[in-house]
Amino acid sequence: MTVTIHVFASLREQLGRSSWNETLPDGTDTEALLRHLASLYPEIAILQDVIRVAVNDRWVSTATLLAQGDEVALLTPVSGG
Amino acid sequence: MPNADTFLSPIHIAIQEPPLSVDALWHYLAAAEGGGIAIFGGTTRRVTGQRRTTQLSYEAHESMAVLEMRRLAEEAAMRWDTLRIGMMHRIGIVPVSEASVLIGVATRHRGPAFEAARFLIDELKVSVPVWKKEHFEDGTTEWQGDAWVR
Repeated sequence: MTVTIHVFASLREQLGRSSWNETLPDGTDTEALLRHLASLYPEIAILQDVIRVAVNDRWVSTATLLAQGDEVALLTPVSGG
Repeated sequence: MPNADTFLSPIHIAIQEPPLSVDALWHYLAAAEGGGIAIFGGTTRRVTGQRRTTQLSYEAHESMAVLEMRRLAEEAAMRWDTLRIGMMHRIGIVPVSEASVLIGVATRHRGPAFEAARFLIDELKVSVPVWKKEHFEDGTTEWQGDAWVR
């Protein structure tokens, strides 16, 4: 399956892009995805413990199974307001 | 301002680049014909610690931020029996003294207006995916929320 990864703010600047596609084995969940991305990108590895994940515009707090076409956002601690 | 969009307490949510209008928000809230309105504005601060800021720039995960703001507003509407709620956040450049965020609550009596507005700004800062970047007078910039990587 293929999902789209979205990054913002400092992580977007460090990676030099705001979104890209990742092809993953069926059955991959959000925690496995984050580990996979951390192994590919040192910029994500260093933030792995503080990144929170949202799928299709909703926060997910535990390992959540991904599906074809999901929009996955990797969110560093927010600082709005 | 857009039309009312929920049955019990109309909610207006916006993420926008242009300056935020307190007047427009006030008129939206006043149309509820309640007894009290509280509006909180968050503004770009000149001095933080020893550093002088020239402007902030904001970035959002827009589709999610709108949903998350609405979720918070719906929770506040239920907890405080509000009449109307407006939440507006600016993105892009926000110069010193201009508002980056406005939170407005109309209620029948003053107490719940203050309480709901306080809840909404506190929760926005925790769960709404928006990030601010400080631009300092010395030309350096810094994403806020990044303290954990240093």
